[in-house]
Amino acid sequence: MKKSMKLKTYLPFAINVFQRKLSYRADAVIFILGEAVMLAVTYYLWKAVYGSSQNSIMNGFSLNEMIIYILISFITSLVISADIVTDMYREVKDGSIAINLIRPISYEKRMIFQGLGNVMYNFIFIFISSFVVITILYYKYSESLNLFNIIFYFVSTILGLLINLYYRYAFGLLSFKITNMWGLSQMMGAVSELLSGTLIPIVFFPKTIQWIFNILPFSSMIYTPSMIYLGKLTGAELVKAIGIQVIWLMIIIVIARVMWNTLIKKLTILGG
Amino acid sequence: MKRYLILYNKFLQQYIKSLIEYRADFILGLIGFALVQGTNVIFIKLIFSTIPNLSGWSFYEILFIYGFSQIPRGIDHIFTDNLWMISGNIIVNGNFDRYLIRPLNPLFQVLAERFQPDGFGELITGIILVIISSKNLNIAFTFSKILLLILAIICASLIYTAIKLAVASIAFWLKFAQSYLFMTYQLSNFARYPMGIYPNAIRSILTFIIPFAFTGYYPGVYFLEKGNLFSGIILTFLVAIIGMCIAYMIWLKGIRQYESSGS
Repeated sequence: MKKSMKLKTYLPFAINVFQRKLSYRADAVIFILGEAVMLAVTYYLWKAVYGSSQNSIMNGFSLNEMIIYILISFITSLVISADIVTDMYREVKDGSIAINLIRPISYEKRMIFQGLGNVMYNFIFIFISSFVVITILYYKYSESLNLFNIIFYFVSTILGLLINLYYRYAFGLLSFKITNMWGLSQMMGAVSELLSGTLIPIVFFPKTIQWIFNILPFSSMIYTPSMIYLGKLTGAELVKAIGIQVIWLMIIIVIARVMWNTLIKKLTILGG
Repeated sequence: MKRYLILYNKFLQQYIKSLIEYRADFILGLIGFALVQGTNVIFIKLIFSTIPNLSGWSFYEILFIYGFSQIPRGIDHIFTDNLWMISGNIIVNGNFDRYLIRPLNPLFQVLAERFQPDGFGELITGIILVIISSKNLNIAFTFSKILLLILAIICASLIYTAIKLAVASIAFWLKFAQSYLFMTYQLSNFARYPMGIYPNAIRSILTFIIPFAFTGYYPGVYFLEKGNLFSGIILTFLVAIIGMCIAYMIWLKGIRQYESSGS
């Protein structure tokens, strides 16, 4: 009863964002095409890299697997990302956060649901079709399809999505204290791109550095689901990877709550 | 001309005042863009840990081309960042009016209004990478070569600006062109690696249509002594001049097209 009440309260925030994005559909598609340019650069670069190497397999990846990795990690990062940091920062900057804090709704849940609206949009308009294409491509390369991997890919992606949303929410809370978040979010964007494995699979890093990656939350967001999709994590490793995701999700939620409790007292609202 | 220089200086002073107020943001933005560069360098380094050379290019040669491509990118980023605003909501909100009523060149006003120090992150990393890689490759920079390097950097920056200006001007017709500008700007990422790794279609686009290849690869290979003066410097120079003329014509046509919003 209480659960359904909650959903009814917060679902409109998700739908609102979804509809807003829907009305600018052409722009959203062109923006994603722009992101995909980077995908093309990476594709040709890897082709040249494998062409220049004597080994056809590098760190456990064949060229075909690398292509699938680039594609699947790209759409995974697309479907789990939602720019709630900018929303939060804008509300603080223009002062509209004041009125939103008076309302009897949880700020945290509102932001998470706004993020989910974004996710819904990307899921319906980009993810589903690209996922089918990638899976067909993967099937053509490997001539086998492991349904088990695909199911666990989705489980892991949902966990990665929640970790990412709470991480961004916690990061956005910093705007209560820091007036201009743009530089900081550029910085964090670069760090998480490298650490989450979207740029290059983490197995390409030296062993000692891989250890650091594994204790940070970023690899749980994109790298873990992508490796599961490729069947590179099985059995005990798979259980461990998903376990780490669950633990990270809980840790980040706790961090976000602690940050909220401290920062809400320090919130300075400019103008408004 | 002198008047414009004095005015630009005035605009800059205003900007620096606001910079002092937001000092932390300035530093964070700088570190942010330098970090983006850092991750790209790590990426190249990791790739080279698995192969001795990339299609015949050594690690430092790739680093040189990459570093060189970031210098014009940074310079353009510092001076013409306001073009992103033109492609955004300035036109649809009718805010472009204010550039037309002052007795100054509208393009000058747009560019002078915003000075973006974030670009120094790209510029500084680019310079450092070029210095490190030329040391390791034993590239001798004679006086005349340094002059050519400066010329190539200026031309390459103008190519960046020309492409941005041309695409941002689409906003005069479409009202909002930021997504197009973003897509076009992303194409510049092709320029950081040797053109040889791309298929002919992509190479031709980057050479003849959206000439980002001249912002990194072509002048870069000239200084690596793997290309000739003609394609490295002279063509870069010509592309910059022609590109700038075309872009400015599109811009002027766009201004004639501009109609303010109501209210």
